[in-house]
Amino acid sequence: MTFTHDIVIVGAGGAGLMAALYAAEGGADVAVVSKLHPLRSHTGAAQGGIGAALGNEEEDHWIWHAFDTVKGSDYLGDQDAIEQMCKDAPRTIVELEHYGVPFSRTKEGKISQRRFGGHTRNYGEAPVRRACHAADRTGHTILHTLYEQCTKKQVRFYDEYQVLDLLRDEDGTVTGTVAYEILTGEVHTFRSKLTCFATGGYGRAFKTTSNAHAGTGDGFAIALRAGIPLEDMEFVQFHPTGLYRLGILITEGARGEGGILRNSEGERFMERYAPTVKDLAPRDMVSQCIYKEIREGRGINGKDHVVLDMTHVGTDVLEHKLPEITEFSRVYLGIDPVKTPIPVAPTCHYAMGGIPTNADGQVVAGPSREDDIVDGFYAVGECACVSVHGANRLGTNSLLDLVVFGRRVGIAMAKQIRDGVDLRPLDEDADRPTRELLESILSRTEGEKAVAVRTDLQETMMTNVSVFRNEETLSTVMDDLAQLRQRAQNVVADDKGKQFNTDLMDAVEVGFMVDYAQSIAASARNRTESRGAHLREDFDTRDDEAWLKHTLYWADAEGQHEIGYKDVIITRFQPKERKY
Amino acid sequence: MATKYGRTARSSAFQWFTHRITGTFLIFLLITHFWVQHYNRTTASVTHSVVTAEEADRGILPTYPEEANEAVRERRLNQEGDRQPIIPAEGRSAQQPVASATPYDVLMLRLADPVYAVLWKGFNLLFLLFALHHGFYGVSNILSDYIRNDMLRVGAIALSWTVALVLFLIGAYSVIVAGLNV
Amino acid sequence: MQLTVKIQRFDPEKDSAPHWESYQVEADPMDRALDLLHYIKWHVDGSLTFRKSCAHGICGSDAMQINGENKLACSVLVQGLAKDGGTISFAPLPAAPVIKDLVIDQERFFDKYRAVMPWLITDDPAPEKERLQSPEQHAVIEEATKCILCGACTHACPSTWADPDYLGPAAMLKAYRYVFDSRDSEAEERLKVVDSKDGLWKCYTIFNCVQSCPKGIDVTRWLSALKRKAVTTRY
Ligand SMILES: Cc1cc2nc3c(=O)[nH]c(=O)nc-3n(C[C@H](O)[C@H](O)[C@H](O)COP(=O)(O)OP(=O)(O)OC[C@H]3O[C@@H](n4cnc5c(N)ncnc54)[C@H](O)[C@@H]3O)c2cc1C
Ligand code: HEM
Ligand code: FES
Repeated sequence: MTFTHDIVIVGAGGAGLMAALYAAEGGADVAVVSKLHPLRSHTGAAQGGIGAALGNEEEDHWIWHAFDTVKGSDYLGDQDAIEQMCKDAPRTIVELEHYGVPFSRTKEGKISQRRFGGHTRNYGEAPVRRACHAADRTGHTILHTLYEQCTKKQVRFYDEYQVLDLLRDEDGTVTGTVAYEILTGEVHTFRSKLTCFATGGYGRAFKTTSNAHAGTGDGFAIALRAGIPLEDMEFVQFHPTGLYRLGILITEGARGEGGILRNSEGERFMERYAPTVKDLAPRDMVSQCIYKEIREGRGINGKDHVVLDMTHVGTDVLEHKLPEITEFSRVYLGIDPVKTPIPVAPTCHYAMGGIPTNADGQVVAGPSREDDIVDGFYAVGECACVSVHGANRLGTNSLLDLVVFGRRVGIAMAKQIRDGVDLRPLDEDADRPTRELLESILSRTEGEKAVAVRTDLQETMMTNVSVFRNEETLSTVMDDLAQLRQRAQNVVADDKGKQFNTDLMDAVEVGFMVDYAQSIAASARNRTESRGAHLREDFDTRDDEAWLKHTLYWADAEGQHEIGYKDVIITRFQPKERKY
Repeated sequence: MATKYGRTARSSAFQWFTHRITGTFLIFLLITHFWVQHYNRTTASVTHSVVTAEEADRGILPTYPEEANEAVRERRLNQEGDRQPIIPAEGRSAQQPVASATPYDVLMLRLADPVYAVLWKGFNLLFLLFALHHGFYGVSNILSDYIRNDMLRVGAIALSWTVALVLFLIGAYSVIVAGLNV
Repeated sequence: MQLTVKIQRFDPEKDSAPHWESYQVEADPMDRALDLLHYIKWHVDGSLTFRKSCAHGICGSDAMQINGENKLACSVLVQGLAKDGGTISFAPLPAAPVIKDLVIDQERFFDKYRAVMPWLITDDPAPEKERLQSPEQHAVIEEATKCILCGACTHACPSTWADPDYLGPAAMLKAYRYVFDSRDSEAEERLKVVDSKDGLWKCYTIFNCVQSCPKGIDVTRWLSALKRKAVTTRY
């Protein structure tokens, strides 16, 4: 079938819903297409908070927030967009509150705020309370509230429709998408004046991750296959505190509330690396420090983890401000954080890179922010790269990114629709490549299953492109990926049915995974410096002379790729050495 | 977007609230009822004997208050011996004219008392009303849950409330007339 | 440990009715029940179908009947379900149309959710800053905001089993969350929906919802508060 709407948003996490809500308020006919029911999106897992210089708890200014974000990004973030985000933040949070988000409150009844990694007062003096939160369910309450508001606005939802292809005409204008309806197995075409991707992150490309099983990063690969480059893919955030072996996240808010990381000697080792902010240093640093401790033999009982000690913060804080993570430790590890420190290790968490956009979310497929705009195509949220996070994202800045840019994108799209956009013609058989892809998987009877390829991919990515990287690991992973690509093209699905065939979708997803995994590996290999989350053991310093620029990665279906660059926009903050 | 759920204007708030209230009252009403009817030795009656099984084996029979026996003897004399004694009162010789009380008699006596009758009839009417409302509201909930056909459901509920009404009328009638002919 | 995993299977394209199948699985006591399903899907039979996403009890995808009780497969460990050599059974949530294997049709569930107008309604103009709400006012609704709408409660309630039109605890807890939100002004409109023949009065305080809630929400307590509110608002 062909469905036609003014605006089709792919993905119903915080970013997609925020864009949908504001576009609908702007009077446009909006449809949201999502492979999960919207409430199952991974935004719901966000725990700790959303950053905004409200100053409810102590003095704070958007400019301090902007400085922290720039410094956190290791000066790779585009400062115009960062300023935009930090300036918009307080107003957007207040709007969320007006929509009903049940934030935790201060005694005066204002939105409560807490400390988070890398957020400081007065340009790095000391940690500041900036993270607005709803206990440790911040993302959950935002996601639910946005869905409720979209329901109220009668946004059209296509739940459990998985988008597999992006359609562009000869001019490169995006004309629609092709989606597989999971319930029935039908392939549908969505024809739209404007299309927006909000498909979330790719954590599942790594063995240990805080991300959902659905976090297979489809959007990155679909855009790439449609000839759109991916920006700064080498920057992969590893969150320092994932539950040991499971990767389930323990929010940075735990350290914001006083939690301390300790090694096998019981030492508060972050004091050595970051004397001012200690355990609240940004994530890239803390993760790197944890691995250094482990490498130097100070992992707990010789194993590859350290502990997060919460035993001194008190039952009250754990039960009321951090109830979810307290529960996770009890359920999954059988550990009561009130009495026992929690075993933690870094876990793949967030994609700094993604589909390049400008501050209105318009996709920019090249080095020129003016000339390379892709008509009819927007991206927002974790799958997009504005870039406000540069080489390392600060905690609480992702939810902020979703809502600030989600809002901006929604408003911009609605305005564009009001100003008049033509519905472009679609080819009769626009969905043919998708049908052929599905058909080829379904007709194959011999071969390995997607899970085998996926497991090997996650393994090699984890060993070779996680926190520490060097030429050797990166060339290994490139070779592995070349083989995995062949294997991914020949996987079989046990399930040959039409209805709710998740086995088939697993097979398609693993193909996507190889595509963007290669963008991560190739961009990392190409960048011969260390910056933020990208740490090259063979090039262990930051090199602004050569590398103060964004990476752009293009590839074709066979993995032949090309790398280009884009300038970093610097407004107020000149690059300096990054010390905490 | 409009959904069909929760669109009926009918509220059961009052019924539900009453159900709670009657439930609470039933605790006290039932306790009083059981105490007065079945355990209190001076007025014991109806289904429950104050003699134990062993006593009964030994031929010991229940006794009733002297007033009750007296009232029965009077009635008996007035009614010219058309009714045979059921239970010979203990300690009386079989040759004497026998007139002894039954549990029913005790009950009737109480309801004939000019002072207490008002209280007890009030009590019984309240008990009846509360038990019937409580029980039948419960039943109508069950009916409305399990009968999925609209017509049948409405019919069954209407029928059950009709039964409740009939039971109430019969019950109220018997409570009011009880003891009037003692 | 060695386990027998029994799963209620149903393929709409092949089967006329659901049937049980058993699998032998080697598991670790600390595995999640979800890991067992993954093991079977990935290594035994790829056609086994279930919903899942976050794998740590926050997205609400994988509520199902495990050993006869409604639970999130990702939030229970094998050691809590069976001993070595024991059996663990998986079936879809009861009283909902089954699409395939453990996947149910949630249309009705979300229709009921929409029926209670699950969004904040205010009649005063939005202030410049946030609307104030004291920690005490917030505490009244906080537990209810934990709900992940997984459906475990609604499908554990005998009233739902008996009457498919019953709004159910999940939808009514959402109503509670807004009726008791100090910022909301449409308490009465929303109360009309729950104070209907499909609503509150079919809650017989059975507590199955409380028992099945994976987030430990005292659902019955909040629904009782809503009942009191409905009564006091009307009379
Ligand atoms: C455990 C955890 C805790 C976090 N805590 C915080 C925090 O405290 N503060 C903070 O700022 N950030 C936090 N983050 C980061 C932040 O939550 C995420 O970056 C953010 O939620 C991503 O939102 P999104 O809307 O871009 O994507 P998601 O919420 O991941 O949504 C993606 C959507 O896209 C849909 N989709 C994907 N592929 C397809 C396809 N092919 N077809 C159709 N639909 C598709 C999915 O169904 C889904 O609806 C946390 C992240 C994790 C994992
Ligand atoms: C000690 C006295 C009693 C108390 C405290 C009591 C209390 C209650 C309560 C609170 C309920 C409502 C349950 C709910 O909907 O949440 C109830 C239901 C019910 N009661 Fe009673 N009750 C008592 C005696 C009786 C008696 C004597 C009868 C029979 C006449 C009775 C019949 C019912 C029925 C039929 C239901 C409905 C059951 C259902 O909805 O499934 N109750 N009771
Ligand atoms: S998979 Fe998300 S709740 Fe279980």
